[in-house]
Amino acid sequence: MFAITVDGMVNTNVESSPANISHLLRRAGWGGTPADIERGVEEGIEATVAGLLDPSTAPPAGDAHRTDGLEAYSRADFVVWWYHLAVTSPAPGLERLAWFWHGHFATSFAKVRFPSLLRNQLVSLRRHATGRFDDLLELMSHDAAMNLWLDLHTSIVGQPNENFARELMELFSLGVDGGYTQSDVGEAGRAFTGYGLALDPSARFRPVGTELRPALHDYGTKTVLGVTGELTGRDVIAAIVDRPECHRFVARRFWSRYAGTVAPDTVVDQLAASFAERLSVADLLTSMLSSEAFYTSDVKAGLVAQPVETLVRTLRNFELPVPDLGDISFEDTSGQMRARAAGLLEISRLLGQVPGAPPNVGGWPHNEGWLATDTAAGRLIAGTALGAIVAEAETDLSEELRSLAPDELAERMIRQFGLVEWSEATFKAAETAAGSERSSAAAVKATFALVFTSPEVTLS
Amino acid sequence: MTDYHRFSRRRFIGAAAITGGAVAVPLALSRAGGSSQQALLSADAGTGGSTIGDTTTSTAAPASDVTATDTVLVAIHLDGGNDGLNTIVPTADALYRSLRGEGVVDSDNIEKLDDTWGLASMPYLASRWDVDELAVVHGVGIRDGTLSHFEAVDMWNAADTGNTMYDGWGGRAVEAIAGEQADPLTGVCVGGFSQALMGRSWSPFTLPIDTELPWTSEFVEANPGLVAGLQSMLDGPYEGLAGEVVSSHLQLKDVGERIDAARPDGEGRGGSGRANTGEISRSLEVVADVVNADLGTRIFNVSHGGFDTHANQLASHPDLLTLLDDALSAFHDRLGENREKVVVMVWTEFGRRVAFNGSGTDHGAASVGLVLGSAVAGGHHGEAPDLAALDQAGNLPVTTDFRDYLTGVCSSALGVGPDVISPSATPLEVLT
Repeated sequence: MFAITVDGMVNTNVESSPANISHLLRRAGWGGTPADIERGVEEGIEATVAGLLDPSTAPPAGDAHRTDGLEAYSRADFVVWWYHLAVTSPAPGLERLAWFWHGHFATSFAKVRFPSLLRNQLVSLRRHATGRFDDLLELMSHDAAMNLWLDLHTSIVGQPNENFARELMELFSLGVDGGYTQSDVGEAGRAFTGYGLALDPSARFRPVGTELRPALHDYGTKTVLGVTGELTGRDVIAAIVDRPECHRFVARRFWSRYAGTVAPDTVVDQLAASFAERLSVADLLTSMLSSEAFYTSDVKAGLVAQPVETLVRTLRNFELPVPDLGDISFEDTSGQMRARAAGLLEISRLLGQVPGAPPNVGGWPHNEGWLATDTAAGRLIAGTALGAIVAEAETDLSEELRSLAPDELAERMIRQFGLVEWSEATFKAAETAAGSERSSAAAVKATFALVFTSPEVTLS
Repeated sequence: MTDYHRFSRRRFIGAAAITGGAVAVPLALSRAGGSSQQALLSADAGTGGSTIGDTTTSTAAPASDVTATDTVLVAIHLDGGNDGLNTIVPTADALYRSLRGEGVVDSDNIEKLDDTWGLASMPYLASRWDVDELAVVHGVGIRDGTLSHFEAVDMWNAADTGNTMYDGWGGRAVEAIAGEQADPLTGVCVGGFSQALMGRSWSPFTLPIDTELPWTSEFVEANPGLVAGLQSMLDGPYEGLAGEVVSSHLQLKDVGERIDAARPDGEGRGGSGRANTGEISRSLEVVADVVNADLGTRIFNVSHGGFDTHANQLASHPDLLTLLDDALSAFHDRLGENREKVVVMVWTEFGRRVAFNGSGTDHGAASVGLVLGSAVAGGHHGEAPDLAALDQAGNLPVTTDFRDYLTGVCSSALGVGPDVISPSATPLEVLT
């Protein structure tokens, strides 16, 4: 298996084959291009894992506490900002991890009617993505979007609101079977009183951040998870992260989102142990991504990609332009950028998943949850729309695709999605699509759409 | 970890044994008669799916098992935990005002049902009460629940407090009505998949609200290469999750072609006049269109979200009820004569805390059920929880077990045995 040494480096027995590197890049990044896979094979699994989790490779994404210039920030601004960052970033591992946290602390602008606050939350999650888990929980308890989402600002001494306290334990840190009771929820609710919103003084109601309000905090004695005292929210978080249930819950959550299968108990134990020592997300992920268990054929065939992940991978690998709206709303005199942004938003909506709009605090569907027929319908329609763009693009890649014979086009298309292995059935289907159109551009569009909807690309 | 939209693993174990196109629910085959169906399925284990894939490309709509007079059940989930107290209001109980404090319903928004009860913000439903087509079921909930949304929804979907991992009540009912190879349109989720409609091996069709299905004649004509490629892909073989991907494409193709064939010339699936209103209205418009198209659907599942009113309840809750009332009124209009065969069952995962938290109400235990339709025994059902005897957390105690409610409504409406819904239930008789 593997062992973490004192300096955090990992010795792994996993072979640095193209298939393993391709799998790693798809699960822990946005999926590699053929060139990325070649480089990974040269550098090896260990170095590739380390590179995926190295925060120094990530570009800055703006100030997490920025409040000026965001008054008119719209949902479309947020969504396109997010896609632009994900697609253009040289640090796909970090962006993928920040996306995991967005699904974990699932906050939606359906209720948080200030998309700029969602942006600030994502910047925070991204900045602390690999760090300590207790820091992340603490950060979320002081995050304005989270505060609005789970009603923390209404929770005051004498009238505690249980919403945040319950989901903190059930969804964020312990799990519904994590050993807490209704009494723990109620008492933790008292500890999280006085967590207010900081408001823009020049507007009627426009939150710009959070601030503690000591006068509204309940200073009484509480008992949470067996710890008794004049507890604050920070004390509750400390009690939570001390519990083995928390370590196992976080380990299981990562395994389910990155590996997809039900984690064997021995794997959960190992991951939980590597996490418990320093509560370090980087430690946990390094262990997981370096373990032989992560590269079994069951794991490789066991996860449906989230639609957003497939879209980011497609935009990256096919060099499709994502509009750069800048960090704040901007004047778009020609309207072209806006039109492209609207198109991207529509594709994301068709695929059934839009950043910033999880269906509820439990986050998006997972794995087989993405195989219902409504998602299949959206994937087919989105595939034809994206295929038309690839078919008509004036790039070297599209020009090359248009010049290929059906069998060459089928293989080239499959490889461009970052696959190094595929089924005979999918190859035959792609070749059939490529050979059943009259023009070369139509053949590219059809072949793209076919591969986009194939099991190989639908699964991660 | 409990997932809201979790699919059954068991479904895939069953499906994985079959290769290629046969992984799908073969619509055309499901009506082909027992013996030929058996023969094809068993032959397929060795030969791959090509035969079956070819068969299922047939666009002929199968003869329906379902007769036009069968009752159609529409389950509406008030997602988030509806405040039963502020829906069916105990107007004559002084404890309601003293315990709920500033969080009581504005009396201007209450339609009087009788001397003891009022209905908040729903004048259309009140008009149905007057003609005995609305049943109010008191005290519905899960006894000793954890007050987790996700766990409670899983239990409701399964109609079980223990084994919530696999099939749901609706999926079991479909399999009891039409077998494991039932047409996927026998049970339809509108606007998002629900585990409630998952069978032991059958799976429901999930219909999007705002997207037309592909596989219209226009789509086929415009995409000859993609269509030829997909036909090839549907032949497989694929295994495991890959087989499931292809299975959903095959379901989509068959149902898309049938719905395209059923639409009036020149119109989308929804026909004309789709109103641009709230999601519950649009969901029920889709339901009405599918009922009116007579595609054999017996169960629909839809969701109406926003009921987790921890905060800002006095502003938001009446609006949510009004949206529901307006949607149901428009639904009945759109159904026309077909409304006679439709029973609507409204459910929610739990009620809310009796005490107001200053802005809203936290998770509670008992709520109310509402059942609407001409087959309904209008009036009160179940025993109203006693406001003077709240549980330890300050919640209304459950007087009607959620399984008794589900089983009473669903087994009568669908004509299946109570054991199919829940073997441990004492069915509440709500239908006539």
